[in-house]
Amino acid sequence: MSTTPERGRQTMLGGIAAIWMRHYRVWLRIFWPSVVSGILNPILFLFAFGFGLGAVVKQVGDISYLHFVVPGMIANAALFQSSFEASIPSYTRFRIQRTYEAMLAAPLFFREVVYGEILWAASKGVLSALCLYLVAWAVDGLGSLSGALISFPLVALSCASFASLGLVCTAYARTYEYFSFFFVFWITPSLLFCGVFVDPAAYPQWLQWATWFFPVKHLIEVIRPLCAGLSVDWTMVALHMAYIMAFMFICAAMAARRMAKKLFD
Amino acid sequence: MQQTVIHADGLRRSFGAFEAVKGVSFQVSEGQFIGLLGPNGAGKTTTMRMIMGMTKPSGGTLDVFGVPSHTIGRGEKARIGLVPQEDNLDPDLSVRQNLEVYGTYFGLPHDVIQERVDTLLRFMELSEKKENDVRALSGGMKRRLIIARALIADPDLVILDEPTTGLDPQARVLIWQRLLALKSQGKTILLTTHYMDEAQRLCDRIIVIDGGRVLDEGSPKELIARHVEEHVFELQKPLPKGIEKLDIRSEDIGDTALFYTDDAARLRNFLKADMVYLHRPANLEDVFLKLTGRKLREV
Amino acid sequence: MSAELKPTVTVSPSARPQAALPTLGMVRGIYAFWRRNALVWRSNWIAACFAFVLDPAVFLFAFGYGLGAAFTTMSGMPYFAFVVPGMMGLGLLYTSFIECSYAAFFRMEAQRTYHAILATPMALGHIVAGEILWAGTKATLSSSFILLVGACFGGVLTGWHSLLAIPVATLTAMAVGAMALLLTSVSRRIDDFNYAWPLLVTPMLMFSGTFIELARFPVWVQMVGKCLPLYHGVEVMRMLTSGHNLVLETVWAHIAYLVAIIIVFGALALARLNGRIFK
Ligand SMILES: Nc1ncnc2c1ncn2[C@@H]1O[C@H](COP(=O)(O)OP(=O)(O)O)[C@@H](O)[C@H]1O
Ligand SMILES: [Mg+2]
Repeated sequence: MSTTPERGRQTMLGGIAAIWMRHYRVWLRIFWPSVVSGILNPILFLFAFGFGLGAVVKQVGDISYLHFVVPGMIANAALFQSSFEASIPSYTRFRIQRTYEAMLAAPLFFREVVYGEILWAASKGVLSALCLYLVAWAVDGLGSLSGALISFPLVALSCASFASLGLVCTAYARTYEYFSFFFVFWITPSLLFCGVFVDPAAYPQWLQWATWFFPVKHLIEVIRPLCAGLSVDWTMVALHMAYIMAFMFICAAMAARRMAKKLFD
Repeated sequence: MQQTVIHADGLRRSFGAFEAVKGVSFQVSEGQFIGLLGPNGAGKTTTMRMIMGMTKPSGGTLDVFGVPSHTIGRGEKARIGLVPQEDNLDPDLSVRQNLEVYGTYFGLPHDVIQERVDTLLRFMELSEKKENDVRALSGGMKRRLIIARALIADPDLVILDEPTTGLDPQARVLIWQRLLALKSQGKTILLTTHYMDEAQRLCDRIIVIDGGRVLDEGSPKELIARHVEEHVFELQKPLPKGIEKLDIRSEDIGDTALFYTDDAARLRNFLKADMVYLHRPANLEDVFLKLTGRKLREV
Repeated sequence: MSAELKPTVTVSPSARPQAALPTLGMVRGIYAFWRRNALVWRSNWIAACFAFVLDPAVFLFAFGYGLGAAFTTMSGMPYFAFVVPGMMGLGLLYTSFIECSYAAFFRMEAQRTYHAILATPMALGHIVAGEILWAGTKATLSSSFILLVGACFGGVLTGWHSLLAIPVATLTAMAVGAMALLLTSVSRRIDDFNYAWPLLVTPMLMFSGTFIELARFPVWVQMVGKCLPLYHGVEVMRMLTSGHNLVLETVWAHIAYLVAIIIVFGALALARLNGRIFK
């Protein structure tokens, strides 16, 4: 050959970015359905709960019902979008479309594929949360704007944790039906028992304890006072965030282990 | 001096109790076009996956570009283009985007990708389809696109796993031409196939494997000379009486029998002029039949 | 070494008994498709049941406790009794919608099951009816389970005739399924179903009197809610499980509306799918 061929130089960050960009390009093709449902759906929820529950429950603790429900919905939107994106869509790429195998034939390492996947899913959660912040801001649902600004990076960080759990389900699922477990044991309890719409104090004591397993409960505990403009205990914030991060590392490691086994064995 | 690109020695791989590759040894040197020929289930794909570092060998050694295959890193992978047996194109992207995005996996600069993509689309005759959804492509076009994708980083070694299986004759011929063009550019090519004519036409050297073992290897001519007689007569049944007395090696393939001989005149004299038969030179298919037997393979 | 290749036996046409030619009636055709889905489901039923049986039951528990603390009574009955038929509605809505949207789209586009079936004497009408019926079947399981749980915890105020709510759930699920199937017939990508959540599913969930009575919303919302099939289904189920406002003529009017939705949307879906598959 006359000239030395240009082969490019891949790095770890470059690899993760390449995978993220692949997802981003695919997503651009479905931009409108994503954004319409991302914005409209939470508005409907806010409206329904505002009218229905807000009329009865005027106040939860020191804050109005609107200020109570907004952080819950932000956390829930972040949770749903990021862990869902790492579940069924990732499973499709992993087992059905064999996208990961194609990636691994290129100079990408397996862990970059995993991190890229988590990063992308988290990005979707962040976008969804952002939509909600905007909607909430528009309806005067944020008690403290500066508090809300501080809460945003914490939500973003938690998205990676939520995504990692989705990827664990992807790694262990054998068929699409297995994602039932994901919904019943993850999405639904996170929505219902972690204080998104109603004060968890209404539930039995054992349930209140059990739900500390769910990172979204920790996140709500952190961002609710922040967004409402109440005083914040920063040590507790650090502890809650530490739990969320630990959850992420354990899940990411579990997912990577299992997926590597399925891919390479 | 030619460099060794792949060196396999006593390579093994088992899945549980089942050993799919049972001690395979071969070498591929730079610039060679090597065919891995074997029926379904022979262990071809498993071998290729080991070369790509996607499956760990359970025994033996396997070096790719001088590095043990299960430790190959970015540098080695960037020099290999893989055409997998199963289509794993990205169905969420268009034809052109499939190539562009794959280029980014190699960390290629944007302008290099753009230029390569255009060249490759032309090389594989896909330019008119570049904005199409990959779902809308025919089987042959998909295969061509996967080959184009494998070439995005201008690899030194191209590995193709059954690239023409299930394609129509025109599509196969197009792929053959392109593969020969790649060889003339100096690329090393490793191809698996179960089509004898394909291996005979393309490969410098053929490794026949079956049941996870190498049965023989050599150039197509060598293999034919080593294993089968020069002439083949294909006779429809019922066979003429007394033919078995000629003591000619034969294979029974259902309603036809094949007779192998170096002395064509003798057999032709025996066969009466009004008989319909086919007289042809021996080819790789006959070698293959002899080496692998004529059992029906897994379907 | 060499296996004999046996020649295939050919039978002359006259020797073939005419009666063996299959005839496929409408009922058998629909049943055949329904059975195909049921077989697939059966091989994974534990995993599948989890989502659509347990999930609404968890909702029932959560709303019973959580919202029950806020609303003690609603529509003149204890909140828990109010929410049991509502949760039957939630269960059937999700089950039936997902079955006739994502799952049906996957069968049609990714697995090409419809195309494979249409190469047999089956007609598209069998498939459409079979899909809707199958969605109804799954949803029935889900709603029955919630009714059972609700009854165990005192959420059912009437006697045995509350069981009549189950066929109503089936019918409602079929109406939702027919609407979802129409969406499937016009969707180009699976992501197009994203539109259905804010435009169809969430409004149905929120504004059908499932867990908050419709009367609490503004009038225009009430009007939207009353157009949606789930409202009618939940109303009838609530009459049957609570005994409140049970008027036979109203029941029949709601049911007639559900049947009309099934027929109209089923026919539209059939027409659209026809244009799509046989283009
Ligand atoms: N992941 C696996 N688990 C179990 N058996 C496998 C696996 N992959 C391949 N095999 C078996 O190994 C044998 C060789 O397979 P393969 O390499 O795919 O054959 P070929 O590509 O030559 O058709 C086959 O019998 C196949 O069933
Ligand atoms: Mg193979």
